This record gives sequence, structure tokens and C-alpha cells, in this order.
Amino acid sequence: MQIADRSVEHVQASDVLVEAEAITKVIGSNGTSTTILDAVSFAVPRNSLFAINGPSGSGKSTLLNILTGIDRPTSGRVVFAGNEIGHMSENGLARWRGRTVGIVFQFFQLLPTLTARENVELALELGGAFPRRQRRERSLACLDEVGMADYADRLPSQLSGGQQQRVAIARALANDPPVLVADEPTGNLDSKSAHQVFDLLGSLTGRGKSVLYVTHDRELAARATSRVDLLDGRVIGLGAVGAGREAAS
Amino acid sequence: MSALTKKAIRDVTRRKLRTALTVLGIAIGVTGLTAIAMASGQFTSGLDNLNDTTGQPDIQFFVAPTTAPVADVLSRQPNVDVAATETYAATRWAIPSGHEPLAITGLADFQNLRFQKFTIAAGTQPGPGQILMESSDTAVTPFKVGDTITLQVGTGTRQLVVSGLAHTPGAASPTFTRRASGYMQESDLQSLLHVNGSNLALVRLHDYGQRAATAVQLGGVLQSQGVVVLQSAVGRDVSGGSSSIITGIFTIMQALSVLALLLSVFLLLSTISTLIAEQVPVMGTMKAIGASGGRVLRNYLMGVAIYGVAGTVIGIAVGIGLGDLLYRYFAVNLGMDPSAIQIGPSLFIQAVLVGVGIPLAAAALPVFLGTRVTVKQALSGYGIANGQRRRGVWSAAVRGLLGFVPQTVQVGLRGLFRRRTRSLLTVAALAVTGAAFLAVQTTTSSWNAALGDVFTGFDVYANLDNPQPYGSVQPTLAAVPGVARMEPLSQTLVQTKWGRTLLTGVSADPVLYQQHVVSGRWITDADQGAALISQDAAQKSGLKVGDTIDFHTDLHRASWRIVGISRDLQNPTGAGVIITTRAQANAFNGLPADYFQTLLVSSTSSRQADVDALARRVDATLGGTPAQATVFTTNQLVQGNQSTFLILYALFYSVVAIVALVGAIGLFNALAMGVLERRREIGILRAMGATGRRVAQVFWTEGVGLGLVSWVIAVAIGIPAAYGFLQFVGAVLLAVPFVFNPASILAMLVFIVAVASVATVGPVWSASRIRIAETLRYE
Repeated sequence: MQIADRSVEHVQASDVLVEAEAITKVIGSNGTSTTILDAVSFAVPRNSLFAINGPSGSGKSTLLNILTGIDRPTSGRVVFAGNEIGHMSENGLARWRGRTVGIVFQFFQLLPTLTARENVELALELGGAFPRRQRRERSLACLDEVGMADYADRLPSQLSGGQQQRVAIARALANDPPVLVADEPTGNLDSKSAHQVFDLLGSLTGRGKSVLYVTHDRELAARATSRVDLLDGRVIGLGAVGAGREAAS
Repeated sequence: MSALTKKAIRDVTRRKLRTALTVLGIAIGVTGLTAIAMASGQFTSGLDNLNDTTGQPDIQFFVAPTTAPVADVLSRQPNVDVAATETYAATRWAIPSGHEPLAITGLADFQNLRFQKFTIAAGTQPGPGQILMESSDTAVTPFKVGDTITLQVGTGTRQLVVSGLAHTPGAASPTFTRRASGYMQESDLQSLLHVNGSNLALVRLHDYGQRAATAVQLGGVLQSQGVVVLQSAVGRDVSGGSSSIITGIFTIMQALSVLALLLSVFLLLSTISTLIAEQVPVMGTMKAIGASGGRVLRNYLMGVAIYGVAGTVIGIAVGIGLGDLLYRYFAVNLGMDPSAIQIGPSLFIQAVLVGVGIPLAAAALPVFLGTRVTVKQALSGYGIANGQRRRGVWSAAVRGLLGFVPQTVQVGLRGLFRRRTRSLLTVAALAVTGAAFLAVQTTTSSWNAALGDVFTGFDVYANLDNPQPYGSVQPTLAAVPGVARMEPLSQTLVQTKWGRTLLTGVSADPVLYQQHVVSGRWITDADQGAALISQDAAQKSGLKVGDTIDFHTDLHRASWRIVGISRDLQNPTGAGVIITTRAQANAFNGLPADYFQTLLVSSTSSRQADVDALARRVDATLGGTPAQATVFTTNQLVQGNQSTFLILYALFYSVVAIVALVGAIGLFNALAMGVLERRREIGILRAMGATGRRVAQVFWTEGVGLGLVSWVIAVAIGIPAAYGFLQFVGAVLLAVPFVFNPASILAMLVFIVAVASVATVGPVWSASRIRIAETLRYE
């Protein structure tokens, strides 16, 4: 397999939401070092369903963490909606995430002591995109958007995996961020729930959102409108779905 | 209510048992400090109030009965505001168990009392043949208005009808003073005593600060009037010395309350570290969705504040109740007004600062460090972290040295220091538990040993209210069946720079009075102006053999050479003992050489029944003389002293129980967290065939293992802690030699293992019931 060109020529600058430039991540201890990511570059178009695909150990979750400021690269930079996030402090990144990025985790990560609605309200409180008096209504609207309005007062322990992931998506949508980021969003779900959740994520692009997701599932990766393929920390495929495969073959 | 606030509240309320135990720990600390602050503050102001408002005399002169116009003469002297005379008699009151000393004050005018103004709580003032008893005398033996009591006065007896019950502010209960009191018409009392004239002069001054000089001047005036002064008392100590004991008790209580509070902080730190460890993934999630470190920090401190507020509310309520009970106990026994409880805002402020402020201050650093975890660290350690990330020396040692024990036991032992900080906190709390136990055990055993030392060498102890020439009673007493040997003593309280000391005059070659010379030599008949001092007097004064000791009463002064130091515990709550010959002691007091106030008697039989019978015979014999003696067996003296300090024994062991509870709670928390963290490990063990009992064994081993490590540390710190505690108690209350019983170490081991075993019950039960599927499934 050829290592594809790492350029981003095929994406117009005005259509770019996220730019990753030569992202490298090296970790080391006791004199040995391991390169997790090696000069990864790509661009995520706006309103796209963008997949970061690769087998286990390819560095895709690390890459996603770097894109969201949860981790920092050894070198390279990330420009997110025109802002380089590398210079921000930890607290600055937290506030930035609250407003700009909605994160959906593989294991949902709902706060167990709060109900579905309160989990969404917590995101509103932290992000601050809506005034206090609007938060209750907004949280119910987000839950309704994901089909979970009837479960607003249930605790996470009272919900199935698929239902919890829907609430997590509602939480990610709470502050109306331009982009949602999901790390293996269906990895912990049965196939039926997985399809439902992925369909929901995919539908968000029609509402002006960009969705960035990590997956090792080829079928799910194939549903992306754009993707980057990683192997051993390097980009081996890049571009729009279909176009990337043609280039590689 | 915001979602963050709801989260903080639910984090606290979700784990009900842990929350209850943490709140209990804080409440205990707040309760102790509140109760002590309230009771001691009230006691101090009550005592000041008594001194100022009840008309206590500033100076009292005990004189030979006189009809001279003493009050008129004294009232014309400089600095004298008011002077009055009364008649005072020390009698014996026949009660079912023997005789109780009864001090009777004869008053000429019950309507215009100038000193010691009392109120009549029941009945009426006494007429001829009647007596008005102090209400607290009912603690000696039950009686009521209208009953008849029998008094022994001199060589005769007299029956009097109780006309009423009085309440004299400042009159301490017979529980403390071992002497009942009452009032009669002065003429009736003088008739009872067959005396003509008053024998007590009371004086109030304009300038209280000049009381010492004025007392000497007034003594001279009385002598110039031909009045014989037997004794004087200067100052307004209404409690007769009990206030210093009670103040000492409060000081000890305050120190123990601070200890309980510190342990509450230990407990809180253990709980907070457990909570933080559980919440790491939640913190990561919060930061991932937009929470800054500061917001996360404030959220968890809010949880700590909730613990603190709950504990403070409970602590204040219980503390006020306990403080009220504590104050009333001392108030009733010291003649204070038990209803005069005042609760000021400072009490609440202190409680809030302690109950909320200290937990917040203590938890701030661990919460801050916990919330500094990065999002990546928090989320990559998904679920609960499993603990030790590197193999340590401890694991290798367990494997190497204890390879022969079952694997489940090894697993338990290797887990002892899996979480070092938590284990250290737990071990520290348990070690303090053990050390506290050892300190209290050692203190009580030292006290008991001291009591045994004080009351040894003789079987019967007789104290005379009216000093007598020994020659006048010796033949009569020697003839009492069962008397093996007798030794007279003269004893007077004198004042030194470091406190009240007991001047004791003994025989030059005593047998019943134990010598215990530790340096120098014993006193001889040839010595003039010489004495030994007790070890505690030497410790307090810094004096040694060859130095000079200065001491005085209100009327006499002396400076004597120290020829020796002896171990003598006759005056443990005061400033020790000065031991000299009886002749020298009587000469100092201006009494004939042969006078004595105390008699030691040994019995021909060691059987307690025979000793008790001997005491009754001595009592009956001395009752037929003007001596007005009170007779005790050594058994009664030991029990009486033990009962005086019963409140302290109960207090000490209560504090040990509280300390043990806090230590147990800390261990419970640590083990519960361990169960939580090792759920997957437990699931694997169960999947491999381990029964619930085998799983339980792992955690029981860990719990008891921590207990044993704590015991080793407690032994190392407990013995010096016990010594230090005994010195502290000695400084504020009762100085006794340090007596350590090695069996206490074994008792402490049993105690700590018991505490650890109790603490493991909950976590062990929880671990044994974990279902495999729940633990091996990813959430």
C-alpha cells in the first residue's frame, strides 16, 4: 500500500474547519521512545462527517485527543476554526472545549449522580452559551433532538447503552458547537443501537455541524464524507471517501 | 439549583454510610469543643460571680470563744468595710454508714446576713433545738424537713430537728468536701458546745488587694484584745481548692477534645482522598466538556462544606446539651446556680470555624492536587485505577518471606501499601488509637499505683477536727482491741511560692508513715529548722538537698533547710509535702509539741472485716473525746479518692472509644475503597473458583495487617506518649510517678486487632458478595 500524499490541496481553505499540521507525538521512558504519531497532516472540511480510521494501535485516539486539546503534540500544530489551540492553558482549553467542541466518548462518561437533563444542563452551565433562564428549555430541546426527551429525569444507571450514548450526544450539542468529536461512539453498543447512534451523528451534518469520529470499523469509516486513514501513526490514506481509495489503489 | 450544586449534594448523599461516618467524625470534634468551651466558660464566670456577689468574707479568724466585742473592734480598723462574728462548730453527724463530719455555723440574726448569704429552699429558719441543713447534704444520706438528726458534740450527743434546707452559693457539696454543713441559732449552738462567746470573726475589706497585710494587722489587734487566734483564712476561694481541680479537669478535657478534632480531620482526609480517587473519571469528563480546574475544585470543596455544615449542626446541638450537663454537675456540687446557662454567639462562631473551616482547610490541598489531573490522565485511567504501578520492596518481601502462606493471604498482605498515602493515613489513625489506649491505660494504672502507695503501711486513718495532745488519747486508744501500732501526725496546709504544701509533722523514726527517701536523709529529733520535701515539691520548686524552703500561713512564716527528698504522694493535687518532726511542725503553728491532728493505726489482723471492725472501735473511742475525729479505713480512702476522679476515668475511656471509632472508620474507608478499586481482580478470583469466604479473607488480612503495622508504630510512640500525657495531667491536675505495665502492650494489640476486625466487616461482606458479571463487564 502506498503512503498517500499528506497534502490538503483537495480541500479549499474556506471549507476547512480543522487543520492538523505535521502532528507528531512521541512518548518515552527509561531512555526508550515510541512514536505514536509521525507528522500527521490533514484538514477537516466544514459540515463533513470525517472519519479517523485505523486499526488498534494506529494512534487515532491520540490524534483525536490532540485535536480536542485533551493531549498536546510533541510537535506540529492544530488550528481549529482559525484558532491555534497549542498556546492555550489547560483552563483555556477547557473553556474552549465547552464552547467549541462537543465530545462524545466511547463509554458515554455521563455523570452518574445527575439525570439525563441535568447532564445536559451541566454542559450548558460550563459552556455558558445560553443564559441561565434558557438552560432548562435548551436541555430538553437537545434531548428531544436525540429522541430522549421522555427519559429526561432518568439517571444513567436507568438507561441502556444506546440511550446513554444519545444523552451524551445531546450533551455534546448543548452549547451548539460547530463540531462534534466522537471517539469510537458505537464501540460499546450492540449493532442495532450502533446504527441508530451513528445515523443520529450523521444527520447532524445536515444541521450545519461537522462531526469528527474515530473508528476502527471499516463499514463505519466508509460512511464518512471525508476521512484519514492511519497505520502505525502515519497517514496512509486521506481525502473524500471514494477519492481516497482511488488514490491509494 | 445549578447542575454543579446538585452534583456536589448528590456526591455526598449517594454514599450514605460513608457520609454518615464522616459527618459523625466532624460532629464528634465539634461536640467536644463546644461542650467544653461552654461548660468551662460558664464555670469560670460562675466562680467569679460567686466570689463577687455572695458576700464571701475576705478574711476569717478562728479564735478561742470570746465575748469581747470583736466585730466592733475590727470594723474600726483601716481597710475594714464590714466585720461580724459567728460561732462555728465541727461536729459528727450519725448516718447509717457511720459518721459524717458536719460543720455548723451559729448565727445571731438570720434576717440581716452580712456574709455567705443563703436562701431557704424549703422549710424555715431554725429555732431552738433545730438545724437548717444545706440542701446538698441530702447527697450524704437522704433526709427531709422535719426529720431528726443525731449529732455527736464533744463527749455527748444531741438530737436536732431539721427545720429547713438552705442553698448557700459557693458552698461545695459534701461529694467534694467530705463535710456536711448547716446553720443554727448562735445561742443554741453555744449551748450545745458549752461555750460562752463566738469563735469565728469574718471581715470584708475595702481594698481586697491589701488582704495579706491587713490580716496580719488585724491578727495583732485581736491579740491586743486578749483574743486567742487559732487559725486564719485569707482570700475568697469559695470552693476550698476544688476550683483548681475542676479547672485542671477542664484543661484535660480541652486537650482531649482537640485530639478528637485532629482525628476527625484524619478521617475527613481519608474520606476526601477516597472520594477524589473515585471521581477521577468524572473530573476528566467535566474538564473535557468545559470545566476549568477552579470550577472542579470549588465543586468538590462544596461537598466538603456540606459534610462540615452537617457535622457542625449536629455537633453544636449535642455539644450544648453535653455542656449543660457538664456545667450542672459541677455547679450543683459547688453551690453555683445550675440554671444560669448562657449561650453566646462566640460559641456558634467557634463551632462553625472548627466544624466547617477546619475541614475545608484540611481538604483544600488534597482536593486541589486531585483536581489537577489532566483530562487525558483521568480518561485513560477509565474506571477506578487499580493501584500500584510498580512492583515494590514490600511485595517482594511478602513473596520471599511469606511464600508458605496461602495465596489469598499473600494477596491481602501485598495489598497493604498499594495506595501509600491512604495506607499511611489509615495506619497513622490506628496508631494514634493504640497510643491513646496505652496513654489512658498507663495513666489510670499510675494513679491506682499511686493511691496504693499513699495509703499503705497502715489500716485505719483518723483525722481530728480539734487537735489534741497525743498523751491524752494514747492510753485509751492503745487499749482498743485489734490495735497493733499507732503513729500520730500533725498536718497543716502552708503556702509556698509554687502552691499549697502540706506541712506534716511525723515521728523521727516512723514505721506506719512510709519514708521512701530518694536523696539526702530522714529527719531526726535533733534537727531544728530542717525538713524533707516530697519529690513533686522538689520537681515544682527546683529545690534540692541543702537548699532552703520558705513557707508561711497567714500568721506564721519559716525558712527551713532541706535535708532530704522523699517519695510522698499525700498532696498530689497541690504543691507536695514538707516533712519534719511533729514538735517542729507544732512549734511553727504555735501549738504544744505533743499535739496531733492525724492518727495512723495498724491492725493486728489483715482481714478486711477485722480492719472495718477496728475502724468502728477507734471511731467510737475517739467519739468520746473532744477530738471530733473522722475515721476511715485505707480501703475507704482509696475508693473515695477513686470516686473523686471517676469522671476523669470515664472521660478518658470515652475519648479512647471515640478515637477508636475514628480509627475504625478510617480503616473502613480505606478497605471499602480497595474493594471498589479491585472489583475486576475480585471478579477474576471468583471466576477462578474463589468462594466468597476466600475473597473476604483477602480483605480481612489486609485490614488486620494494617492493624498490626499500626500496633508496632503505636508501641514506638505510645510509651513516650503515655509518659507525656501523664506529665501533662500531672502539670494541670495530679502528679504521680510513671508506672508502666508491659501487659498494656499486649492489651493494646488485642484492642487494635479488635478495632481493625470490626472495621473490616463491612468491606469484607461487600467483597464477598460481588457478582462476577458486574466486575468483568466494561461499563
